[in-house]
Amino acid sequence: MAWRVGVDIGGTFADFAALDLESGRLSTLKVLTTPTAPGEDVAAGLRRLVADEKLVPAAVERFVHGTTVGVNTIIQRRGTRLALFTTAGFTDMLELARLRMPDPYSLFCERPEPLVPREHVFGIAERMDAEGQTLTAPDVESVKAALAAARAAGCEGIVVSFLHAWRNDAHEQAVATLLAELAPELFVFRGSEVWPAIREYERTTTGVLNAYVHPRIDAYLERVEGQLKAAGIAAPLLLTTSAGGTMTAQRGRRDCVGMLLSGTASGVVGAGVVAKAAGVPAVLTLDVGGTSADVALLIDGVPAFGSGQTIGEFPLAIPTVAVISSGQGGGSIAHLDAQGVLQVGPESAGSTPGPACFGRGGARCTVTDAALLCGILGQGELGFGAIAPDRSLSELAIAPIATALGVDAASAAEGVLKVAISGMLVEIDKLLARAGLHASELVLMPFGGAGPMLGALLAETAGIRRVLVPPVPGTLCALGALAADLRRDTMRTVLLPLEDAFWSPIAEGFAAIAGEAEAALAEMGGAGESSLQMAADLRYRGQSFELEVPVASGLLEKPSAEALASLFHAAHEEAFGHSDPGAPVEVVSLRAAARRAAPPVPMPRRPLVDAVIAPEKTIQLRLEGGWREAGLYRRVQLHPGGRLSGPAIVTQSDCTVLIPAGWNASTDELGNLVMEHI
Amino acid sequence: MRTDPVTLQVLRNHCRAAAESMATTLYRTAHSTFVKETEDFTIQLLDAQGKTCAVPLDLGATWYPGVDYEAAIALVPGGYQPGDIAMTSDPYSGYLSTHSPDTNMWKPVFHEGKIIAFAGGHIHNVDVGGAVPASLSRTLTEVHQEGLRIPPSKLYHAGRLDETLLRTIQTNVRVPDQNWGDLKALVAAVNTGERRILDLVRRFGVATLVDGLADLLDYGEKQARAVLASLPDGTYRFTDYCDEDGVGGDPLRLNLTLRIQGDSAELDFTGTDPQTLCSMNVPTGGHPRHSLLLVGVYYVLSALHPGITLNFGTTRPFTCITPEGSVVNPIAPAAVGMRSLTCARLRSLVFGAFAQAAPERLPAAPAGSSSILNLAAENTRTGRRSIAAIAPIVGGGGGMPHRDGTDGSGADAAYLKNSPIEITEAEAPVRILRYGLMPDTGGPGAHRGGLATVLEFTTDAPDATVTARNRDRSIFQPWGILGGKPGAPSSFTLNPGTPGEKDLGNTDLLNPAPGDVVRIVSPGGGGRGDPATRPVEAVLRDLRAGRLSPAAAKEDYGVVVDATGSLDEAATTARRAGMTQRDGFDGGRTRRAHEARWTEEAYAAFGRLMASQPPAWRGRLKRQVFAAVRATPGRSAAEVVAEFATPRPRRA
Repeated sequence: MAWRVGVDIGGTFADFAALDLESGRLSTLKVLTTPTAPGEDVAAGLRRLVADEKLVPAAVERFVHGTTVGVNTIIQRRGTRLALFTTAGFTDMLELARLRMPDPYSLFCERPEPLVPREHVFGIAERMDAEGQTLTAPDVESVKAALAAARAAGCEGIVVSFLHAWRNDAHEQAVATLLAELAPELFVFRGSEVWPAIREYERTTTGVLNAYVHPRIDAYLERVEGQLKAAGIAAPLLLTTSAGGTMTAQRGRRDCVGMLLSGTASGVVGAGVVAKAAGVPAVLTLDVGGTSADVALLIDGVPAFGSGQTIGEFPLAIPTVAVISSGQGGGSIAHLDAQGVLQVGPESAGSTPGPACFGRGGARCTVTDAALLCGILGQGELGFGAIAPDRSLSELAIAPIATALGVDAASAAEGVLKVAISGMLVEIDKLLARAGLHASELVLMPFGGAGPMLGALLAETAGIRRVLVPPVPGTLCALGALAADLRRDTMRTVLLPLEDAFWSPIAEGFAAIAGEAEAALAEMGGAGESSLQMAADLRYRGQSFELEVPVASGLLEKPSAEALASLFHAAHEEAFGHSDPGAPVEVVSLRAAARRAAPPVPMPRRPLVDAVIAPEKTIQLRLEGGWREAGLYRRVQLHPGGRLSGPAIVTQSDCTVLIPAGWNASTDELGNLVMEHI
Repeated sequence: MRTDPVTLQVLRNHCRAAAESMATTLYRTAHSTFVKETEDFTIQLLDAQGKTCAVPLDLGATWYPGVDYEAAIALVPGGYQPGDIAMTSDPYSGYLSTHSPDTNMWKPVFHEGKIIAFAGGHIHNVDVGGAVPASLSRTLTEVHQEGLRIPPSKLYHAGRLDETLLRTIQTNVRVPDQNWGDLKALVAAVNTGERRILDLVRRFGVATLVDGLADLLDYGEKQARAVLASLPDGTYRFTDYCDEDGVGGDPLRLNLTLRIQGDSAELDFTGTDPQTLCSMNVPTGGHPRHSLLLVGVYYVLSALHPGITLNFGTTRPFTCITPEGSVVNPIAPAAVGMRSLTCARLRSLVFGAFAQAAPERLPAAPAGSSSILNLAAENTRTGRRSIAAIAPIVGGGGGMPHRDGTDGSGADAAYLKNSPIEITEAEAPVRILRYGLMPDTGGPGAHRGGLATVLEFTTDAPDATVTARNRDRSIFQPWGILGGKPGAPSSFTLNPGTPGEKDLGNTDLLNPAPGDVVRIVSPGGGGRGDPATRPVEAVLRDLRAGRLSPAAAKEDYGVVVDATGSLDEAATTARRAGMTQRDGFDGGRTRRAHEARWTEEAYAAFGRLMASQPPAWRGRLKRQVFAAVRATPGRSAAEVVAEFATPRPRRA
């Protein structure tokens, strides 16, 4: 008897996935989050799993957790008071950032207020050059003076981040050692320790983000570990990471940035598990939450990676699953502008007060209210029965819009959905244009609470002809947590010409980061095979951006600059449509990722039984400008091989699926509902 | 409107998605690092008349959301057929491209044999030949020196590439492969645009699409008219100056009379100086709604109505009057390459005029000069001579109605990016000594101006050449309003704080010796509101953060602190009580001195004199007049100007 449990905490719900290995049965569950008592939601969900699903706590061998506590700390600016020690002459690094601001047409544009105010940034007399040679050794007196000022200001931690520490971190090390002696009560992070990438602003900001959330995450993890202990779970606490892997809580206490985007990343990982099992090569995931719609690309079940995701407008230099957000979610508010044109978002009712129909004080019409008025929602329970939507409240909320448009509530509601969907199109089109993909090559996989009700409408708008709804789309993040590998990423910036003459420092760099990554993996323990992936960030000399090219380990055995260069030319051709095989290539950074595969999540297949499934009943659905009859189905009715045609609504405990007219749907062997545009 | 309010928004989102998709395609496939780094390109989705209906908001430059292709489209010989792609880079045919490095391209979109729309865009080629590398310099005097110019011509005839035109381009430029690479990216973008527009036809039907595009223009127009209607009717005059009208030249005066009536506005540039002898001219062809004249308007509208739709419709309520032969409507072959310097001043000119109409809703002047700093030298690490962009030196925004100006950048410079110091030092033989905000440079005010940026660097390369394009605001400061004081002027100094210290003024070319220290400080943003009314707590906060020195706190704000930085309340109350109340406009000491000499009367006489001369003569005559006024400090400028008045020369 053995169990595995995945828990993902989002804005409104905590999602649970519990896998009973003996029976292969996957149970899922949602409970409301408890922002005022962090960790209490975890305990509540566990109690219900024990009561309802006969979970045996002592038999839990793997417990994986994703949380938004870090990202919320940043967005709500409730992190710790920090000092930043940086190279003298550059103390405005956080203020200036990269200069460019969002909304360039606004005369009132601004950058986000730095997490460390200017008066807590201290210049240290030291200087390293770009080759890593000391020009000026760190001046002890300037460190002491900065420390005295930081203490006087009540700072609880210090970030030490110097110019060119990517090349040589000796100065950072020296100052950190000195601080450990002089101020053992203050915690210290070094910029190059958190992520040693070239580009001082991004590296320093990543270090600052890490330190800013560190005390809160540390305290939170201690509480959750306490809750697990109290519940009788002995398995070590694992955390999902922004890179779609997992790490031990022990490591997460210091590697806080590693878990900032864990929720979004594990949703995409969960989608990847489903896509791989279903054999779908190219997937666009769509996670619609309260305030935004997040989309990501999966090729052969593997998420696209990128560095440069932002959190609260701060860039994160570490590699993360690449997710793009657009400002239309279930809680986005509809209104008419001064010219009488219908707008949806970016203002959102979020999870508090939430849509009007939730009856929690929201009075303005949201996308969720519109879906209720069109008859898409309200046919079954919402959020595992946690919410009972009130249609009359939605009618009240949309009345002013409908009156101004001179139409009835249902027409106005349909308009709200159309505008919301077309708004999501902008980000999707950009993503596809960047990847050089065409919509018709993709399958859309909607998940999250509101994804499946909008997925097919969005697919139609974007020109995507297939939609795959996993069996439990509302808890895909928790499934992703169960399936994510233990993983450690490392990197080193080398900035060398890609020539055989420089091969030995390149190979040494690879050996060093591979060693670091594997050592970290070993330290985190666990059973199973481990693997190592390596990559190089390459560019043509003079380019300002790099392209990550995977490097097979065999390539490193002998000098092979030419072989690596030809991989780069091919990748450049693929990504940008052209390459320049005659031009000199530079190696900017080396990357390694060590991973130990999570035990596979069984995906039981059931035989297909071809049949047309009859609806449970007929309902009225408002789409395409009029009310029409639609079949109402319950998801549990839809056995593998069972077929149905739109218009139809499929209800299940975690979400509602809309199948518009013009779409056929059938359930595959894995229980996925696959829709095809006729 | 022809389109219902739901469909219109849906169509608007689809058009924006199409435009973003075009821009992403261009950005992804462009060859030159210049295009990738500076994003000096734009994309437009145009109606059948060539008016811009939709633009991307996430990529590209900010100058052309309302650009009008109609005149250039009509200049292509032989009409259009499906598969044609046309282009132009001639600033004097159609006034679409506004200097020769800018190539505009457009593709007609046919439906059942009829043009229903165009897909368009522009890209800045790094070099198009001519007298200097990169084709741009203030030293050039005729457009013929500024590289290859292509009048509106087809690059593709019914899908077939015009090899002759391509060979001509490649023969005339310094890095032909790079230009062709960037042009191909633009071709890919307009092809994407055509495909996307045809998708829209399938989705909405041709009638709905064509009506919808027209309604998008009407929608933009209505939003702009609503903003204008919210401003008081009236005539608002404003003047601003570029420091120089050429290398070592005289002030360049830009004059604007803004007449707001109801929901329309007239922008009359009469009184603006004649076209210059150097390449600072802004070619508009007298188009009443030329996008370059209206860039400041786009910003003002966006400030007064956040998120306003920007397209050609936005420009309809505005009519520009640009006297022929003036710097805002030069006559060929006046050089135009460095029009960007003048354009920065044109924006602050428009801001100033609107700030008079709605002072309670608009900010003071932004720093208004972004020096683009490059260093060319041999890199001992790579053994190659390279040109490295060190950084754009940008200053802060002006004090706003609701808060201080953004420090270090902001307002109309917010689209610029800097380069990491670590990358710059690894690629160029340069060591940056300081890069940050310069204290005491924000114009004092109830809401102070944003601080200036300072950059100090040194190089050990004996062959280093430093260029600093777009230098300005070293003399005429970013103005303050409602009692706010002007932002600090820009400065450019060699070896500051040493006996050999040298003021470099608006120099844009420098050969530092190894070990020389170069310091460049941008202007600061203008202040807004009487500084004596700035809350003491806000002044103390600036003091604590090092944005303000104790001396400036006392001098500008009347806030006195002791040696520990604690407030001396009594001294502060006393000092503030003794400060004169301030109100109105403040252009700074130099501007006051200039206008004391060059009075309205003098400028009126000067304007009459210029108007009496053929445009080509005016630049040199202006030099003589200014020299004469300088040479006779005892006499009024108007008198001196009057002596130049001679009968209009007759043709032989």
